[in-house]
Amino acid sequence: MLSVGLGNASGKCLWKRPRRETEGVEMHEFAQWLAGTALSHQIQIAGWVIPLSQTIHILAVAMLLSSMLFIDLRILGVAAKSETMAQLSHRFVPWVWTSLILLALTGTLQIVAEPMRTLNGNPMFQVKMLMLAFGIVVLLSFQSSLRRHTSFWDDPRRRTLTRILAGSSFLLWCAIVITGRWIAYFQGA
Amino acid sequence: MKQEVDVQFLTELCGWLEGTALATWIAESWWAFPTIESLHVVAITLVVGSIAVADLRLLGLAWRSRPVTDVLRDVLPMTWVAYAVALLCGALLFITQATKYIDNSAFQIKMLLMLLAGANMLAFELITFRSVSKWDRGVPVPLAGQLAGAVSLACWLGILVFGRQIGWTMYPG
Repeated sequence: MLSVGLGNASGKCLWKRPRRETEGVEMHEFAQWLAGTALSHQIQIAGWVIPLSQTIHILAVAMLLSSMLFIDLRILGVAAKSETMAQLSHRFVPWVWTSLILLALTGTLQIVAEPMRTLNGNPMFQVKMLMLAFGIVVLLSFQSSLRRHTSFWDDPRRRTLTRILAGSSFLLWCAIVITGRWIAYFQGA
Repeated sequence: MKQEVDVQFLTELCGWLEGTALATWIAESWWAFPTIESLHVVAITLVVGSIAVADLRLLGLAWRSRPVTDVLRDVLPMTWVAYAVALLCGALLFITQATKYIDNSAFQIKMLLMLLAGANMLAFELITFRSVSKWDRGVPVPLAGQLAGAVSLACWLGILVFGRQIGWTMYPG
């Protein structure tokens, strides 16, 4: 089975998952079934697909993180002060969604190509997906709030709160990227 | 003859770096390398993402409503801070297996691209940017500026791609 993950500096996988008898059997079976499909096999045989997918994945991360950084720095009042919150978000939020779509597509492709790497009880993958779900909820809430309570985001009395929200949001997305990188170190099962 | 001596010096330097307490600790700790590597990835994505905004402005493809100097003033601090973090993390990763990295062709290409990106930026700052008041707003950026943006974008995309390639070639499977 092709595995393009990394170990640590000496190349070893960091963690062996203790498997309880009945736990995660369905997911394990699904992962095994997926690994056996012709599609998964074809992707692995065509050696260029996974590297290309991972490259696009990380380019999308660049698009996502820098867009979030611009938005959050604007909330902090540090960047793009000449633009209103609405203007700046209008500019960068589409890039956030574009990158999320690209990430979903390449992410799915990578899961199909190497199901045992992520679906076989990999805790980093599970944590990443949980945080990702939360991140998307936060993003949607922000968009909604920006539409309905635009003045909140420009209100100087609310500055501390908006700053905490902006900072936490950015750290959350960084954490998602970091756990994504750690998937490779926890793929042993 | 001199070239042989240079290569030998480099190899010895790398060997010495690998042997340092810091390098050994990072290599042997189960969490240090992955953590530093993750920070390196986050930092690099911020470098590429932020520079892309500046380059797209120079190319006249984005944010034409704002003066070039305004966009650069916002972007460049982000880029520099992210770059400093990426550089530090990169150095810490490098020393753990310096002799292997220096021999790795993806690593070599990445370093060359970084030199090119730096030279491109320097040329832009010292030459093209001097006339910025003439093309800061309203008019298209001169060809030299557009070229600088294009070269920068291409270099940093390449740095990202070859950086990933280092991972595949240093730790196959």
